Amino acid sequence: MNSVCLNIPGALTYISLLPLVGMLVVSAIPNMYSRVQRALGMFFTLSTLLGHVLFFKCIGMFSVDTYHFKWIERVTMVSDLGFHYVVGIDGLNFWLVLATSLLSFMALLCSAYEKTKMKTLVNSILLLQLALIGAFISLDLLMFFICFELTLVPVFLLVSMWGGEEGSRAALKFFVYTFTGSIFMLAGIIVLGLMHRCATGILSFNYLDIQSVVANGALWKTNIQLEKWIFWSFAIAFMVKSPMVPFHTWMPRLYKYSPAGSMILSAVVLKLGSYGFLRFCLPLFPDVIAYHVPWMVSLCIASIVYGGFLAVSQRNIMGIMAYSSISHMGFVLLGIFSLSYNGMVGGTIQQLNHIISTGLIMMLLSMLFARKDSRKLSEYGGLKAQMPIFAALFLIAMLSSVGLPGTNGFIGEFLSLQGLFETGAAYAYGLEPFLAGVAGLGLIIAACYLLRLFQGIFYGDLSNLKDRYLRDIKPFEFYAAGVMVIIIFLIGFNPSIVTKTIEPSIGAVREMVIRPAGERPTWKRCEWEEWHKMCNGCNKREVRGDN
Amino acid sequence: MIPLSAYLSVSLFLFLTGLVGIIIRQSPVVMFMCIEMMLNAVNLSFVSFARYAPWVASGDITQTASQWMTGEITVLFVMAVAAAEVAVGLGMIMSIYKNEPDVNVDALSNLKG
Amino acid sequence: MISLENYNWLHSVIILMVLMPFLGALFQALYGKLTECLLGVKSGRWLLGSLAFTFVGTSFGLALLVVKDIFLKHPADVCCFRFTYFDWINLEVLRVPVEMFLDPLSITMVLLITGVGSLIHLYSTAYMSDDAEYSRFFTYLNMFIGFMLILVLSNNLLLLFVGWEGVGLCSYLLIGFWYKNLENAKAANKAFIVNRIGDLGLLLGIFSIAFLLHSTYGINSAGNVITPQILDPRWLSYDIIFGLLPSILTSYPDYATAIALLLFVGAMGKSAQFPLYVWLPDAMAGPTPVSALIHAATMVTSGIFLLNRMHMVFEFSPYASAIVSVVGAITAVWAALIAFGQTDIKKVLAYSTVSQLGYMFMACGVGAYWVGMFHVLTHAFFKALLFLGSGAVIYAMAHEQDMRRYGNLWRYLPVTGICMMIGTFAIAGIPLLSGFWSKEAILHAAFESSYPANLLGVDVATLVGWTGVFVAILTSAYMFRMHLLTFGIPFVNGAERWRLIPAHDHHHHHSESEGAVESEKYDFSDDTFNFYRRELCSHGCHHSDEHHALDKNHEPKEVPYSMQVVLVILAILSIFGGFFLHQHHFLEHFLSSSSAVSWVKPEILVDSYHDNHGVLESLLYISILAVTIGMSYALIVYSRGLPEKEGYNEEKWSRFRLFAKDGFMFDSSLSRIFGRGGYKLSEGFWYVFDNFLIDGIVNMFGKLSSICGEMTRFFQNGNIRFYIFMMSLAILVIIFYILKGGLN
Repeated sequence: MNSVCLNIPGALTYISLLPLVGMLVVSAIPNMYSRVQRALGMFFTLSTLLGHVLFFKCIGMFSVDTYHFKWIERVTMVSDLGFHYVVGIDGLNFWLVLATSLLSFMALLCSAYEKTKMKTLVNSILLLQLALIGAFISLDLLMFFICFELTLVPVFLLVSMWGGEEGSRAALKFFVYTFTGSIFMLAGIIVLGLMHRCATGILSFNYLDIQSVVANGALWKTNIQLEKWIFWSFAIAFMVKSPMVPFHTWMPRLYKYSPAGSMILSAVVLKLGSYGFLRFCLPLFPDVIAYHVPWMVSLCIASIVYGGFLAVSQRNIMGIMAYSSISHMGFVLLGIFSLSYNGMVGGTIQQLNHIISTGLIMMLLSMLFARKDSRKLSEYGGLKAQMPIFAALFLIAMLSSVGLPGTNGFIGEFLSLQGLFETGAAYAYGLEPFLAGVAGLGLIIAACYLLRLFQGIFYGDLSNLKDRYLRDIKPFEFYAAGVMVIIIFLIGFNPSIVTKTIEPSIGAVREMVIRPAGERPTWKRCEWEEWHKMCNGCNKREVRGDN
Repeated sequence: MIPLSAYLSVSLFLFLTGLVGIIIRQSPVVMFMCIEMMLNAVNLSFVSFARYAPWVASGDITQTASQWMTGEITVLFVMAVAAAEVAVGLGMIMSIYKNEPDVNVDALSNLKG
Repeated sequence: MISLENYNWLHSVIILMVLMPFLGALFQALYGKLTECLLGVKSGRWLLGSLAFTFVGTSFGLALLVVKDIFLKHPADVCCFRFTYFDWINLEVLRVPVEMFLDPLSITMVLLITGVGSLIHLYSTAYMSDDAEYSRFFTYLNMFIGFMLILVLSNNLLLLFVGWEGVGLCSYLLIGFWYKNLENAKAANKAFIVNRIGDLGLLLGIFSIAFLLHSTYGINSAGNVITPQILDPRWLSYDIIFGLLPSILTSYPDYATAIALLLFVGAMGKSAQFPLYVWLPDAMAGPTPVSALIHAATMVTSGIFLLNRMHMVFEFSPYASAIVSVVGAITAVWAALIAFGQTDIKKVLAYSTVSQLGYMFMACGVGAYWVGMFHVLTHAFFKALLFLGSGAVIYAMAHEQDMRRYGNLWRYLPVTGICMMIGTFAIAGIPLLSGFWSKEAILHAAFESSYPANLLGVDVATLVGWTGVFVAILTSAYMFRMHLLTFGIPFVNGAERWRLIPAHDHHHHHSESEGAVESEKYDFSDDTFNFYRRELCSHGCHHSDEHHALDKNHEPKEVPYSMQVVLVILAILSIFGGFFLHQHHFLEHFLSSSSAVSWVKPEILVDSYHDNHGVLESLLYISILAVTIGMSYALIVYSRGLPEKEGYNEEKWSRFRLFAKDGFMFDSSLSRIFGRGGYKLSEGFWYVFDNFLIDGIVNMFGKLSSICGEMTRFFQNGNIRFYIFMMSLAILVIIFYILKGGLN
C-alpha cells in the first residue's frame, strides 16, 4: 500500500462528497449559463470517478486478494442510539461505485440537448450519484437506509418534471411503492439493532458488528422464526427495488415517462436491490436462506421469463427496456440465489454487465429521442440507412444485452445458469435441474424482443420521410458510446479484470451462508475513536478476538 | 343555609342550557351568548365553591389569603377572558357580515375534509 | 503424440489462421467506405474484394502448409496437438483458456471452410459488385469465416460455443443484408431465434457435462452445498472431458442419454433438422453467396461437426443415437417431399440442403461418424456448386428466381449449365461422382450397423437405411426436375418461358419514392441542435438493388469470368472429390483416429448383429436403380417443359403439390402459433397479469387508503356545531370513566 494514501484520513468520504460540492456550485450559477452548469456537473462527476479510481489504485483495490475490507472509515455519531458512520470498500461494492460515477458522467454528457431545466437536471443527477455512492459504501444499516431512500428523491424529481401528467403519476407510484418496501426494511433494521443489544449488550447498527455476531451464531441462536420474518422484511425492500416479479409494476410506467438521459443511471439504481441481497440478506440471515432458495429461485425465473415475455409485445420503446431490465435482473438474482460458487460470481458479474449494456442502450436511445420525439416503436423504421454508425453501435449494445459470447453479457448469464444447473442437478435446496432449462428460455425470449426492437428502429423502409434528412451520430456522442463499447469488449474478452477482485468477496459471502454457525467467516473490523486513524489491513487494535 | 348543591345545580342548568344552545343554534351571535352563559355558569360554580369551601364555612382564618380568595380571583380572570373573546368574536362576525348579511355557522365549512 | 519441438511455428500458424479473417473483417469495417471514396468505386471495390479473398486465401494456404508438413508426413492417429494462448475466463472453479486443438477432424473442417470460403469470396466479388454496401458484405463474410474457424479449432466446449453463437450472429447479419425489405429482416430474426433454441440445448448439454465432471459434488453432512473439489479447473476442455467421461458414463448410462440428447438439440438448431429447420428456407432471403457458404457448406454442418467431436457421448447411449438417426431420416423425407412443390430455385436447393443434412445425421446416428463428415465434404462441393450456379442463373436472368420463368437456358448459359448438370448428377448419386461415394457409404453404414435399438420390432438402423434409399429416389427426382425446368436437355430446344414475360423497367419504382420526397417541404426551423441535413443525402438515396438487366435482345448472357472459374473448380471437385477421398479408405482411417485419448467402446454396442447381408451385397444395384427411377420420372414429366399441372395457375396443381408448396403447413402453423400467437399471448399476459392483476393489487392498496379516508371523512365536515357536540360527548364519556373509578 502506498503510504501517501494513509496520510489522508477520510479520503473516501471526501471524494464521495464531491457531488455535494458540485451541487452547491452548480446551484450558484444563474440559469442563463446552462452549458456552464452542465460542464460543471460533468467536471464534478468525472472528478469523483477519477478520484475514486486513483484512490482505489492507491490502496491496491485492483489487485485484491482477500475478502476483507481494504478501507474502513468509522465515526461514532450517537453512541446511545447506536448510530455510527461507517463506510468501507471491498470487492463487492467498489466496481459499483466506479460504475455509478461513470454512468453519471455519461448521463450528463447525453443531456446536451436539454433546453430549459438544466440546473434541476444536473442537480438531480449529482444528488443521485451522491446517494448511490453513499448507499454502496455505507456499512452502517441506518446510513444505508438513509442513502437508499435518498435515491428516491432525484428520480422522483426527474420523472415528474419531464414526464408530464402521466409522468407525475408514475413518479408518485414509484415513490410510494419503493418507500413502502423500505419501511419494512427499517423495521427489520431496528429489530437487528435490538437483537444485537440482546446478544452483546451494546445497541449498534453497525453492519460489521452485527455480522460478526451472526457469524458465531450468537445473534439468532434459536429464533429461526424471527429470522425468517426479518429476512422477509429486508427481502421485500430489495425485491421491490431490483424489480422482481411480482413487485415490478412500478418500473414500466416509470421508464415510459422518464427522460432517457437520466435513465442511464436507472440501471445502477436497480443494483441497489441486488447489492442489498448480497451484502445484507445473505450474510445476516444464513440459517434461513436454505428454506427460501426455492421461493427466490422461482420468483427469479418468473422475472426472467415473464419479464422477457411481456417485453415482446410492448409498443413503447422504453417499455421494452423496462421489461428487459426486469428480465436481466432476474438473471442476477438467479445467480446469487443458486448458492453455487459459479452462480454467485456469475450473478455479480451480470450486475456490472447489465449496468454497462443497459447504460449504453439508454445512452443511444437518449440520442435517438433527442432527434425524434416519439417513443412508439411503430413510428420508427429504416434508420439504418440514415445513421449507419449509430446502428452499428446499437447493434453492439443489443448483442451485449442478448448475451453474445465475446461481449460482456455472456459471462454473467452463462455462469448464473450453470450455477443454477449445478445446484439443481445435485437436488440441493429443493431445486431441480430442469429449472435451468426454464430460466434458459429467457435467453431465447431476450433474442426475440431485442431483435424486434432493433428491426423496428433500423430495418425496413423509412416510416417517416422526414427521417431521410437525419444526421448520424455526433462526435462527442460517438466517443461517449465508444468508451462503453470498449468496456463491453474488454470485459467480454478478459472477464478476469472484474472477476479477480470480486471472487474473494463472493466466496466469503457464500461461505457465510452455507457454513454452520461458528465456521462462518467474518469481516475484520477495527475500532478507533477519532477520524484520523484508519484501518491498514487491520494490523492495529483488533477487537474481541475475532480475526 | 342554602346547600352548595343548589348553587351547583343552578350552575349546571345554566351550563347545559348554554351547551345545548351552542349545539342547536345556527346564528353566531346566539352562539356567543350561549358561550357567555356557559362562562357565567362556571363563574357561579367557582364563586359558590369559594363561598362554601370548608375553611370558609368553618370560619377558620388561619388559611392564607390566596387560598381564601382563589375562587373569586378566578372569576375575575374568566370575566376578562370572556370579554376579550367576545371582542375578537364579534369582530370576526362583523367581517363575515360584510360579505354576507345572513351569517350562518353551517355555511362556514371551508375546512371540510 | 508427436513432440512439438520441430513445430514451434505451428503455435503461431494456427492462431494466425484464425485471426486473418477477423483482421480482414476489421479492415473492411473501418476503412471500407474510405477506400471506396479515395480510389473511386470500381478500383476501390477491386481492392476490397481482393483483400477479402486474400485474407481467407491466406488461411487456406496456411492450412495446406500444415497438412503438407504434418499430416502427410505422419500417420493420422498421432497428429493431435493442443495449443494454449491466453486465459479467457479465469475463476477459481472454472478456467477456460483460448486453446486450439489440431487433429484430423479439425484440419478437414478448416480446409473445407477456408477452401470453399475463399472460392465463394471470389464469386461474391463479382456477384455483389453493384451493391451499395460492398465492404459491409465482406466484413460480415470474413467475420463468419473467422468464427467458423474458432468453432472447429477450439479445444473446449465454451470456445466452441463462442464460435457457434458467432456464426449465428453472422448468419443473422447476412440474411438481413438487404434490410430495406422488412421480410429479409424478419427472416434473419427467425434464423437467430431458432438457432438460439438450439443453443439453449447445447448450453444445457455443456452444463450436464460440467456437472458430471466435478469429482465430488460437495454436499457436507448437514446437507449444505459446499464448493466441490475440482482437480482441474479447466474442466470444459476436450482433453479433460474425454479423459474423465468414459469412466463416469459407464457407471451412469442415463446421463449419457441426457447429455447426448441435449447436445443433439443444439445440433438440430444449427443444422436445421426437423422441427427446427424452419429458418433455413426463409434464410434464402440473403444474397446467394451467403446461402452457398453458410447455409449449404459450412454453418449448417457445424451440427455434424459437434456430433463428431462428442461422438464418445453418443456411443454410450444407443437410444440417443437411434433418436438422432430417426430424426435425420424424418427430416430427409420431409424436406425431400416439400421440395417437389417449390417453384423458387433457391427454395428447392434449401430444402435439398435440409434433406441432405438429414442424411448426414442418419449416418452419425448409426455410428459411422466419419461417413457423416464424408458427406459433409462432398455435399459442400456439390451444394456450393448448385447454389453458386443458381446465383449465376439469377444474376443472368435479372433477379428472376421463379423456375416457371426459366427454360432452355443451356443455350445461353453453357458453362453454368454444364456445371449445374454436374452438380445435379453428383447430388443425385450418379455413379463415380462424389455424391455417389458418400451416399453409398451412408447406406452401407446404415445396413451394416450394429446398434441394437429397435422400433416396433424393426431395428432402427435398417429402417433408416431403407429410408435413405427412398430419399435417394426423391432426391434425384426433384433435382432433375429443377435442372430440366431451368436448363432443359442440352442440344434439345425447349420452350423459352421467359420470353413470354414482358420486359419491365426496373427503375420506375425508385423515381416514385424520390419524387414524393422532393415535393414535400419540411420545416427545419426547430432544429436547434442541428440534427437534420438540408441537402439530400447521397448514400441514403443509393439503393442497393442490383440491376443485371437482360441485354438488348432480352436474352440472358453468361456471367463474369470470376464466377465461372469458381463454378468450374467446384465442378471438378464434385466429380473427383469423392473418388479420391474414398480411395483406400483414406478418409475413414484419417478421421477415425481422431481422438487424443484412447478408450474402450462400451459393450452394449458390440455384438449386435443384424442380418442385412443380402441388402449389402446388392446395395450398389439398389442405389443405381434408385437414381435411375428418379431420373426417368423427371425426364418423363419435365423434358417437354413446364407441365400444366405445375404452371402459374395454381388451381390446377395437385393437392399434394399445393400442400408441399406450403411446407405441409408446418412452417406456417409454427409462425402463426409462436410468432403471431406469441405476440398476442404476450399482449394478453400484459393486459391480464400486469395491468389487471398485479397492478390492480398495487392500486388496490392505494385505493384502500382512500377508502379508509372516505370512512373517516364523516367526522370532518367543517361544521363547528358538530365539532362542539363531539367534544362535549367525549368529555362526558371521560367524566363517566373517571367517576366510575377508571383512573385507579
